[in-house]
Amino acid sequence: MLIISLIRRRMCIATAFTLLALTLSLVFAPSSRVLALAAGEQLTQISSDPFTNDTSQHKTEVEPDTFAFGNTIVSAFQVGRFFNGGASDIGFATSTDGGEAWSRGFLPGLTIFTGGTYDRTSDPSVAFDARHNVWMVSSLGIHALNGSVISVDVVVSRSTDGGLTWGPPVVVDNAGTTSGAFLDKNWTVCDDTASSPFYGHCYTEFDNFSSINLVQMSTSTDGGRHWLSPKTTPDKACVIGGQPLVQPNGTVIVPIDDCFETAVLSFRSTNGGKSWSKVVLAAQILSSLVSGNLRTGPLPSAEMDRSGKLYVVWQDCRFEPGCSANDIVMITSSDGLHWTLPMPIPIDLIGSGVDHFIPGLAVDRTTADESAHLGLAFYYYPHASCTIATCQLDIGFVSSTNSGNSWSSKEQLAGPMKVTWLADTSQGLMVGDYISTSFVPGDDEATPVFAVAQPPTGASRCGLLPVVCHEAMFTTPEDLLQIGGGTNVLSNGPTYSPSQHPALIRHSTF
Amino acid sequence: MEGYFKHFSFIIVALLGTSLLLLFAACGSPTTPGEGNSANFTATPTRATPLTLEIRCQDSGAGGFYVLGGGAHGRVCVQTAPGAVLTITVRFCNGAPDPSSELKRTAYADSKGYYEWNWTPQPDCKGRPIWKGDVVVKAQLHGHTTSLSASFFAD
Repeated sequence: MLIISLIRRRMCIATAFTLLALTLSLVFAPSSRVLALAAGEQLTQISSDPFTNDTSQHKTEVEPDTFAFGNTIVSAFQVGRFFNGGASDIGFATSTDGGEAWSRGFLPGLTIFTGGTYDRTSDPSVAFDARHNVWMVSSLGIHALNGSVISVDVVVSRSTDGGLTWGPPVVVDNAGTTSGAFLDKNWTVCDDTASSPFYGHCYTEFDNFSSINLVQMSTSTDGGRHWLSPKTTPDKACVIGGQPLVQPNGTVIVPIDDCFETAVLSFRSTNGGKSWSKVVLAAQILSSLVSGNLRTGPLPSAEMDRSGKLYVVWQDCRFEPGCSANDIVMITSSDGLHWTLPMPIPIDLIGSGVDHFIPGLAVDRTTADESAHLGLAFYYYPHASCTIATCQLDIGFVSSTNSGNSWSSKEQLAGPMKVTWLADTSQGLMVGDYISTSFVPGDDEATPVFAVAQPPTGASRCGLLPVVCHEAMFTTPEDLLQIGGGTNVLSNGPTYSPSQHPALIRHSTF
Repeated sequence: MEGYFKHFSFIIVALLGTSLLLLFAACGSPTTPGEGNSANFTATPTRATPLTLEIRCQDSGAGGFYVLGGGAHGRVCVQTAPGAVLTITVRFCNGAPDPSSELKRTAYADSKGYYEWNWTPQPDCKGRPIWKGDVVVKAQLHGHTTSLSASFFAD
């Protein structure tokens, strides 16, 4: 007992000195904290988790989507992340002046925490219907019982005042409520081209976990008030993570992963969503497992330029020696049927050991062809081979003014962060399965929205209350991310050959 | 936001300063044998003590049932009484129990009452990815039995 007592006393003194060090570090921290958030300029925090239910982690915000139309930018994201699926609500932040000032709030009537009936929500996606002047955020409406998710619907929240206030959710598909289905990964887009034969049609893509990840497409023609029964593709594709886009002629093209996230597929509709084509293979995916138990996957981020050309990016390791890290690779298509070969975006040298993942691509819809403006935000580790204790999570940005033929040098927007500061989930530590970047059309700057974390209060890692996490939504200040493009091109040609290193490529094992 | 940080930091510094004073005061003299709350360190349950069970990993602040790496690695952690006998059943996608051998062995909680299973899932998901998982853990000690379940949904 004497030994134990002495040990306890030493631990007590050690704890006291640790606290002293912490106190001193906090006294001198504020200036370095600001510098740590951005290279020389402070980021703009656009929201903070206000919820206090003891079943999810606070203050956490993850997984943003954005959309821009006119001078308005709307972002939406999960707030108060549950460990085993979903969040307390969807938050929004809206700028009506191109990203200079932001209004913020939380979707009403969606979950029990905001007067709604769903226990949780997830997977926000933002769209704008120009014909009906309605902003939309689609999301999952999740029912839970005794802490377990038991069914999932897809819903849409609508705003008729420019994204400043929102109504209660409208059901897109309530197969969860009615038959216990688990729907997932909804994404909504609207046909905003006045000359299109389907101007004012909105489309929500999602998949049905309970039915072999069956792809589902639901259409609304009245500003999201009502949604038609979902249709699927003739081949009943098994999918996840689609991002539908509408060409100026009204053709809807849906780049999407196969359900094992081993290929990017594509399917389309040329009749306003009455029917959908079979899927075609756009590209194989070869992604490397990201270190540090970070929750990531090679989901596509897709955008379109003025001409209707599609750009799709995802994290992929095929160009790296031994598939030891991920690049962000890009493919393009003018019709959704024929796709270019994947090419890496030259963010870092091939073989540098930098791991890039969770990309959010923006394309200026007023630009096209060889002068299309592209902006790309992404997370990265400077060293792919790291551990939960050593991984340094950063956020970077590159741009192109020539349709991706050459790119600017990487700008570090935030970091380094420890992954233990992130919300914990059953699938790993989480900033989001996706992030997003948007252009105010015709503007020369991009607006990315992403999760940034700082050290939690009450513990060394984020968790349930009484631990208070500090993971929130941030963007860059107005005028920071000028789309200057650059001269960086791929200096190393593709090196992947399927026969060279299949054993080092991590595929799903089931 | 800078003002917010300054205000926040001031509060934290004040709280930590107070904590320091209390801690240094508490550390002033060693505790002699027999003093203090040493009873708190004896975690062995008796028949009068209900057998506690929590599904939580030591390095997690939020949960204890993970499927990582796109389904390549399953992990379940429990905190219970030292020496408790543990059995586990994991089902994915409403399918049959995962037959992995790591899950079939009888396990024993360590001296701190902790145990974790790490295995490569063999899910019964009808040829599709893991989209849902359920685990049931049963603990037994000194005639007491308790069980606990947890689940996840791959949103």
